[in-house]
Amino acid sequence: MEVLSVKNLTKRFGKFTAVNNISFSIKEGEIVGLLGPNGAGKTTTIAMMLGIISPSSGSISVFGLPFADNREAILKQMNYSSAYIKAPWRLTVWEHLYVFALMYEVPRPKERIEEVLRIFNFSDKRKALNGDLSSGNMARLNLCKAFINQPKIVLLDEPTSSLDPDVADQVRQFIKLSREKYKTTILITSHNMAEIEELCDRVIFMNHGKIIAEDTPEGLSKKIKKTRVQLMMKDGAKRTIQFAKEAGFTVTAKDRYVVVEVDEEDVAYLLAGIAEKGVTYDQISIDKPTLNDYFIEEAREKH
Amino acid sequence: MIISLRRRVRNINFHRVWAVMMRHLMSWPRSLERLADSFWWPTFNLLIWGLVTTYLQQQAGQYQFFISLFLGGVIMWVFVYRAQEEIGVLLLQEAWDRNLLSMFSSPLTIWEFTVAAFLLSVIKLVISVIWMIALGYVLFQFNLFRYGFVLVPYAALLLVSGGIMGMIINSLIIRFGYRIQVFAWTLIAILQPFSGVFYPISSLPVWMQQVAIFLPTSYVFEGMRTVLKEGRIDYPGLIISVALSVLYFIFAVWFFAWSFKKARDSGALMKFS
Repeated sequence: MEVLSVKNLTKRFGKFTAVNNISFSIKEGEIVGLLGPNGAGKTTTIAMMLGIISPSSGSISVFGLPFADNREAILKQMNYSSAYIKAPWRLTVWEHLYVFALMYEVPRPKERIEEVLRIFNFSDKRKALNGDLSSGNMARLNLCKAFINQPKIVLLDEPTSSLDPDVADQVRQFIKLSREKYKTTILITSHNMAEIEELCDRVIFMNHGKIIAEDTPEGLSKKIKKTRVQLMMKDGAKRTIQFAKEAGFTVTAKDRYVVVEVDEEDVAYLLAGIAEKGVTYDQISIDKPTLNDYFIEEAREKH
Repeated sequence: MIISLRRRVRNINFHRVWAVMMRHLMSWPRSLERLADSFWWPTFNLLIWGLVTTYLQQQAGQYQFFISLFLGGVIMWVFVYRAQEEIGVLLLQEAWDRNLLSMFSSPLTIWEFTVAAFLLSVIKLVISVIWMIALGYVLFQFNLFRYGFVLVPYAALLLVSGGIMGMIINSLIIRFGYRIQVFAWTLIAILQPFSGVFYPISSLPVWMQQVAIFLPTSYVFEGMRTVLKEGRIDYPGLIISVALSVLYFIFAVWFFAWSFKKARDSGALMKFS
């Protein structure tokens, strides 16, 4: 079932078009990554979905209802967290969550606060002042707030950007659990491509305000045909570089390492060729293209 | 516009209004600067003006109403500037705390936020004014309510005037951002000389008197002096003040709604994150 639908959404700020006629939809329980370089239009798109910025044209429907006419009813079932927002520094963690529990009209707010504090392993900070929290704990508090109302849709803007790997992993596990247990629909932006690959069913890639690709993380990775062959050289670095250049491959060298980018089917040709020239190496790694490679290629190409 | 206003009032959810009030009431005792706004500056004003007028009274016995008029003015002006400041600074407080996006990405409406700000300003104002009245009585034997509670409607009108100014300043802040945040403390001062807080409007230059005609606050302070001197309410002045307040209130609501719409169009709210 489709819970969120964006149709021909455009946002212009004067002559600058931040979001240019984009359309997409998200199904119930789906985790979708919204990716793109800085200035691609992701934050403006999310802000329009929250009613903080009004669209120049196009429409947003949530649960089949037009957002513009049903803002309060829709937002009651949504929530939002961003690495860039903070919390009132004179309130305690518990007080901050209590205010938002009231704002979202959460039934039995005190019990729910204890529940989210437990889920995010944050109970010991309940009496801490927000102003005394580390950036990692502030991100954790934002996530507690984002799930306080058991939302059906959550928009997460770089939710793990300031968390240590352990907590970031806990958050990812919770996001997965939330989807499995409550069928929560999640739209997430992140610059951590491994995280997107781990979490997302689908990725929407934006650049210059437009959606330029929409696929699974694996599907996007496959659009990059180049495989990276990294060799830690023992003998024959110059011969390897010369062979690669003659074959028309992209080659870079640094210290003892030579990296050659080839199509997957040319890996065998490369290795056989340098073996024929008597090249020896201590280590070899053959890396298939990742979402990160796709991101870098798209971001650089369109600039 | 009236129908739209009625619809907005009907749609106000008091759970969310209470949530905003709770957020600020819980942080209030921990905020030294906000406590200073509530107690320190009003006390300081009262002491300075009380001592000046006591001195003047000792020097020239014929000015027997000086204390009443000055202290009445000091206490009544608190209604205007505290109401205005409370509403203006409340919005800025959310922006400084980088909490504004969390607030307005929730179901909270700007009208619920404004109602909460107004109710908070009433609560804090009542506390400030009780403190000042008690202090005025203990230090200078000045009793603002010696004629009963006839000054209450005037105080209510001043509160509304402060609220109107607060909404206009919030509208400007929403529209133009931090660069004009200083208005939250300073803009109200423009009203004071024209309002005749400490002197009758007739003592102003003619051009200032012409401006004062359009200010609801000028009728209130004239009315306050009538109450303190003659113990009666100046009903024509009160009615003009009410009419002007209603007019400006409608304008402020419209301007606030327009500014918020413009801020959503221009993405100005995102700049507070």
